[in-house]
Amino acid sequence: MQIVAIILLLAMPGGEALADSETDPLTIPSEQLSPQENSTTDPEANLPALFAVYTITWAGFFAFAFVMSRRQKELRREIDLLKTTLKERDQNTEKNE
Amino acid sequence: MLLCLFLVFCWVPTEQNLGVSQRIFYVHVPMAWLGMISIVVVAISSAIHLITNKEKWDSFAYANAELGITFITLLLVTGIVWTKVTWGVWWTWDARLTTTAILWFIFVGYLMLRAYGPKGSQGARYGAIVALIGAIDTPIIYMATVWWRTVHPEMNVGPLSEEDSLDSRMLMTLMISTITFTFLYVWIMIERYSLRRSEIAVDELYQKIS
Repeated sequence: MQIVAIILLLAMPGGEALADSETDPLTIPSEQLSPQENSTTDPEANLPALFAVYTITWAGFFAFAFVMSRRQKELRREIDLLKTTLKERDQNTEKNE
Repeated sequence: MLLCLFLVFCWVPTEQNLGVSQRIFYVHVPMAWLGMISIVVVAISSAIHLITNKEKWDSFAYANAELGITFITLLLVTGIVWTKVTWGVWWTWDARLTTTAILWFIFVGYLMLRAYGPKGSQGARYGAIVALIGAIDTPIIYMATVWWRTVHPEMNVGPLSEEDSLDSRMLMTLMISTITFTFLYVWIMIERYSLRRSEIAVDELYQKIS
């Protein structure tokens, strides 16, 4: 749904979104900051940035869910291993008795 | 979530000055809200663990810490992209941005302490102290635009915002987005908490066997 919406918005004509990073300083004092001119002339100039933000956000959540799912699988494997070890130990204890 | 995406991309009007990049707002604000909530939850859970000495509160704190750092990281990343688009720089040492970065480091400190520091109740105790410092940072982040002259936009919602500072459709979209992300947060937190309890149970079993 997100991809369809973005494609629809991108289909409209838009200008270059981002300023040239080679000429812009990395950081400047906040008092010297002012809104970028291109955002006032072309409201759809920053579509790639919008797309990037939503992609990063959802990628972040999916990555977190993926990591959790992997840990869950590892835990299940460890639990099975522990169950087997405990079972063997109990069997050895019974044999010794 | 689909409703939220529909509202953000198809329904809410485009802001006059910032254009379509303003729609980052509907992700950025919920991230901030949930990131700040999570450190407070971590601090409260850690304090309860210290008082009651019950393991489940420590697990709850740890689960929320992992979630919190995810949200604050996403907050900073979305903020950085928006900053570049709006102001032309990737970063500025604005009060709100700086205090948020401090919160991110507090989360990192908490998780590193829990991972590499002393285990058991001592580690939980040290973690609780770090979490309390983070909880102190939260109101500073919230009030940063009021206490200091900042380039970060002032509050549009909440008791300290101006009346009618936000279009009604934008406000509704923001509320729905915040509620949606809150539900997501709660769901992931429940999953992570139960995973953490399982991890602790497995560690205890290993200790018994050895």
